[in-house]
Amino acid sequence: MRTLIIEDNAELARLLAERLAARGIDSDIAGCIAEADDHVAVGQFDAIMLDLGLPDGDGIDWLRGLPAERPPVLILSARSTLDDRVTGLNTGADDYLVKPAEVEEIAARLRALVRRPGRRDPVVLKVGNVTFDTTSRQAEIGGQAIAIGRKEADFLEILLRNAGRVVPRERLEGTLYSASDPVTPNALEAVASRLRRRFAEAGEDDILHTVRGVGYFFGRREPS
Amino acid sequence: MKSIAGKLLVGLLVSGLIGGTVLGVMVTYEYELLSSDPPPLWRTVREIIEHVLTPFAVFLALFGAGALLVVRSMEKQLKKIAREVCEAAQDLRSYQTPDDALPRELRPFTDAVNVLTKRLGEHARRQEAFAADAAHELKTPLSILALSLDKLPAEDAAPLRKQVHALSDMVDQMLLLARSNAPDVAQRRSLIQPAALARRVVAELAPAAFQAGKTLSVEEEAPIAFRGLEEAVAASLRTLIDNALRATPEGTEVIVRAGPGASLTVIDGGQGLQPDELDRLKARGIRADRAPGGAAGLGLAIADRIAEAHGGELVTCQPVCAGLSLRFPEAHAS
Repeated sequence: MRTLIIEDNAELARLLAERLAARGIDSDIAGCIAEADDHVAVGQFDAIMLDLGLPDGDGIDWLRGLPAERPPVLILSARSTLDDRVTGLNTGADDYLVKPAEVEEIAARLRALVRRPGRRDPVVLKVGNVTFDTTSRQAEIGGQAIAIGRKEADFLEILLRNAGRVVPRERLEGTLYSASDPVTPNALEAVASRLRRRFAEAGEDDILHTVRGVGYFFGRREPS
Repeated sequence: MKSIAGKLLVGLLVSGLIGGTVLGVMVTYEYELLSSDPPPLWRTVREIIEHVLTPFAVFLALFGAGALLVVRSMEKQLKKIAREVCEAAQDLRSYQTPDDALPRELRPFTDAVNVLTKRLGEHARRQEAFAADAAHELKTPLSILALSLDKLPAEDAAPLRKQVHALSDMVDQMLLLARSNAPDVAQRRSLIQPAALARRVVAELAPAAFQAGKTLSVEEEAPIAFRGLEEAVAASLRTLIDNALRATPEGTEVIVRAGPGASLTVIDGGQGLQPDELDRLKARGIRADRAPGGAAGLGLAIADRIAEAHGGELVTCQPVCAGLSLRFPEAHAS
């Protein structure tokens, strides 16, 4: 995988290239828009990392001028407000990260960007011991199949797809129940506790969590 | 006597007295009231009423009424301008008195005040630009630090990485504070729903809180929307939650309550802060918890300043419960 790093701070660009290389991602470096143009004209890149404040212009303007047939662009900027991120993404950036970002995350996002077009999410979702086959709707814990109902399966799928993030209850309700279905306040919690019971029977407690008043999330506590 | 109407009244009485005396002397002289053969008393009294008191009564009544009308209308104009200034102050907009809004005599004063507000506005703009530049400049070395940490063994890097994050958060908060104080912030303010904001911030922080062995939750109690810079308010709420999580023992819950009204309250399982303790923290900008380690922070001071820039305040919930509350002025339907 080959990327182009457009960043005016030479030290930062060099370090970024070095740390990405340690993760199997090669990079070229451009220190300004003119250099970036040269690189894009002659090189083939799988992804571009773009800083916004550049000495000879704004990265956003440069991004606007790129042809439609371009590699995915990840903006890596110090500008952190919602407005900045929305502007960046609306201009056509494929992802936005705020400085200082962890190399691990930058690498993960780059990989996600490169595999995004045409690829569907994996058919078998896996978090820790728990796997879920999205076609057969079968859940397994440590290779042991567990019996869950249709609503529980839908619930589990959404949480697994968003593992480690809180999924708002409105979104779960919207997926699990049709608009005409009356949703009682405790319906979701009932689904969650049925799932918890199944997990506990298979020896996996403390993995499905309620954030009261907000939603649910899936994840295991890492030993600190 | 401080009011213009009062001063005019005194002026009229004094000039009336002086004028009356002069006229009285003239009448006395004209009608030879003090001569050896004075006219009868009833004639004297009639003369005085006819030539002194009547003209004065007419003059005083007309002039007094006119003066009062002028004063009233000026008072009205001034009150209108004052209202506009108050509205501008509420939104932290600068205000320039229009040239023809007030009588010419007041121009030197309004001009001077206009110059003052203009300069204050420019100063605030420069401050914001400076804070934005400084925040930007700080992010590059922070990024270099974060990347360099990647070379260290994981166990050495983890605590350092935490510090880098804390520094970066603080830089963001200072930038947001500068933004909420900016003179043109009124145009950038949107309607904030306290419950939605609470859910968003809690959703962000809940997984990390869980890893630390603590629970986060949101409660709603008749929340009312308010106007503000959503990112800035979210940053102050995040600070309060971070503080609460640090002060809360493992296995307990931190509750974020939206409402009642335009307020956001973070209730923790700690001891809570007394009002004077909170004031001290706000003023000195030191951290609320007394636990060693963790992120240093101007946190509470910045959260308070952000609330203040929105016309609100940061208050303690003591003695009712242990927690801190951000209160904002409610948005009007207009």
